[in-house]
Amino acid sequence: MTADEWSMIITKIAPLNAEPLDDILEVFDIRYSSNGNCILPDNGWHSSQKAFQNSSTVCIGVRVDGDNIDRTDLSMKLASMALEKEIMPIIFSRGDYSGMEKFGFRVEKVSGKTEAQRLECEEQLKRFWNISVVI
Amino acid sequence: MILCEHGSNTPEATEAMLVFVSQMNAAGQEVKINADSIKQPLHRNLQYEIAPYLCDVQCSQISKLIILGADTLNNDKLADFRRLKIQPETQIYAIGNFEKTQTKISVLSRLSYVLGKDPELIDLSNSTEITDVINPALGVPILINNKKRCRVMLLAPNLEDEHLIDGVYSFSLSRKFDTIIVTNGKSKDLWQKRYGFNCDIFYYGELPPEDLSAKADICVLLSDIKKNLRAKTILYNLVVSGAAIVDSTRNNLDGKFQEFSVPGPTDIGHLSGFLANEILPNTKELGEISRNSKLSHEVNADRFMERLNISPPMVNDNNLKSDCRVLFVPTNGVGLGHAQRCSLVADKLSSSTKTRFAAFPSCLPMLNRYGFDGIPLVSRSNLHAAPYDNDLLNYRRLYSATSNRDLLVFDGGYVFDSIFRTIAKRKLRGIWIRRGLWQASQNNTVALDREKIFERVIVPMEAFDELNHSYSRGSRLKTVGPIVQQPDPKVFDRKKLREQLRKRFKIDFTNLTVTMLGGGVAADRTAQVQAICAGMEKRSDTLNLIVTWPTARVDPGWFSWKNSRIVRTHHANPLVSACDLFISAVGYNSFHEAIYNNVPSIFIPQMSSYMDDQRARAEAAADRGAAILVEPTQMSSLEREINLCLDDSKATEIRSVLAKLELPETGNASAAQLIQEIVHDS
Repeated sequence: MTADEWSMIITKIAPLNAEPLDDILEVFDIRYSSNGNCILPDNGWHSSQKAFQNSSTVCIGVRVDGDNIDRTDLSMKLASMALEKEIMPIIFSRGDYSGMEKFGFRVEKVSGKTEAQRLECEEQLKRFWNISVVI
Repeated sequence: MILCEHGSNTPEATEAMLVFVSQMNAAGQEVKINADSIKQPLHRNLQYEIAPYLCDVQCSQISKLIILGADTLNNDKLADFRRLKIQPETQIYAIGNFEKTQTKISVLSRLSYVLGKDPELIDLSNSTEITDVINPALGVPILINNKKRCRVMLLAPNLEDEHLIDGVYSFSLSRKFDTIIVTNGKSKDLWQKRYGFNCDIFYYGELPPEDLSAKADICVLLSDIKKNLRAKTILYNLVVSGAAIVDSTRNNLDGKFQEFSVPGPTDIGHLSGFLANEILPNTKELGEISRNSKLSHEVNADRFMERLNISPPMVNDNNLKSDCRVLFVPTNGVGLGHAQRCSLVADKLSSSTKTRFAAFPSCLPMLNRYGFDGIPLVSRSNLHAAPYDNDLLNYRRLYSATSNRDLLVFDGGYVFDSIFRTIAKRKLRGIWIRRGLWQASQNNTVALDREKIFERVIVPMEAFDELNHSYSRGSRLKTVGPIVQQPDPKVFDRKKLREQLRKRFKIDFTNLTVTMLGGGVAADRTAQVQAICAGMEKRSDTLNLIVTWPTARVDPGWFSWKNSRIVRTHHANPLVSACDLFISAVGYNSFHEAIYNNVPSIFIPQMSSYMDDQRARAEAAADRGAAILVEPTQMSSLEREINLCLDDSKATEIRSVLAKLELPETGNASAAQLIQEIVHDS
């Protein structure tokens, strides 16, 4: 991503969140059931590394999970780092949402019923993004 | 692990190795290709084709090493082989043309040197196979689908021949057969330019030979294929599988072909009658002749495996399984509308049907909340060198999520390679839920071409007749009423919902408006939302809810308005049904929800080259007085129309028109029924 694109992301980062309404609305939706899962069947194909358009592109993985992380602060830090160091942060999220999609970060879903499946999913994504460091 | 290598690293050698490995795997034997041995960038099709077979090699895991094209060995490959560090117990087979003793000695000594042991040589020069190529072509029995109508494959027609292309077209009109044409890329282009997309036509590299072979009961050979490895492999698969083979070329007069095939008319004009009179009544017997022929015996992969000391493979459990699962794949863009529509159809399937989804991550929480398990797909990345790199990973995920004969239901505009190839490779039954109203300027040739992989195309209608267009014809096409979400009176209580909103936002509103202008992916609607919020600020009687998806970008400025609140939800339908005025983009789902649920609406179309024609949809409703159309630039008209709806009788008039509309019956249950028919047909 270009410096201008990261600058634009920084201008949109603010500690403001849309009001969640699911608690009110789900009781009026007969289809609501809340028992589906995110899964990842895998037959162990080879995880190929992919080339970037610009060979100098460097990505790092950032695991974002749990409620104790200030998404706004983290977003600002990562966007600033991306702008200054020309590094592309890829967010690995195990929850429904990372909370950083709305600012324009690339978020990958880490899925699987078991920890082994989730690690395999993360490994696929690391190969896809040529990532060697996940923080 | 059985590892396959080639003596040369030319593109032709890589392709030959890939066809061989793919045939061995189709025969039930797991044979892999060393990922490090693929040096040069592969063509897009080959990248998909090779993906299932690539591996990282650990020397201790190689039980057998098969080297194809051993007579073409070069020094680079010898150095690669040395790096494999082959263990003493590994069996090595070098396959090639060793007619000359000098070649044999040279290959033996060089491989012995780099591998540390003598390979066993398999000489193809004395093969009595009908061809003379260096690479072994194998035949594998393919599961024949038992379709109701006989499928005729026209193999290798040269459609640059004017007489032949017209003749093939006449043949393809026959109602006695389903016609499948397999030819080269140029012939396919010529055909589609002249005759469009109403016949299933493939070029040789479009799918692996074993996937194309599964599409025929009768094969008519129309030109010499001796030098065409893919076409030859298709023919061998069909011979081994017991398809009836008709030779309509003039090339095979030496009698070798007559042992497994029937000579057919060389004039394409006589082919239809010949097949109907001579072949169709005798398909079974002719198939037996093919299956028991000398050629079938020679090229059978099982026989080749014996030469490699490979035990017969275990029976593949996938072919024996009885329960059929349905995988819904809603994609394109973010995929929310497609996912919502699929979930409505999936809800109507019988409870015993095992249903899952593969979708982009932003759709999965919604699908989970409706009780469906979901597999995340990976979105396209602009950073990657190839625009389909994400789709290669999605291919792995879709393939892993399915078993042979499952059902895949795709909802989207563009059939990704991952979907196309998963259906072919897994021998899935494919169904495409294909919403219409394409823009006239769109190029949908790839989409229409790929319709051939689906057994059924379900077209959900638009509410208004003039919006329904036909893009293709044929028996696989089925039309259903609009697929729409409607609130269920068992749980929906408009008054109660509005009361809860009053409490939540501490605003004692009379009017509730809902603004839903899209996620901003297709077009930025920040200015329109600002204009709406500014207008609402003058109205103390109104609560305006701006509904966003949890992943949507939200402008910080929107949070500063008092009468407008930014909300997020997975359950927008009850909110829309409870409001007094809906200000919305004109996507299929939101449009039909407004029309079917009697909600007065102002539509602001989003027009992007890859989207459906939202303006046409809004115009159709506006022309009937069933909604208001406001163009994105008409900001002052927008405020005026909002006030007319809320203060005057305009919203009431619209409601009255909506109540009188004669709308087609919704198609949720009919679409599910059409899917269920295929499930039960397994």
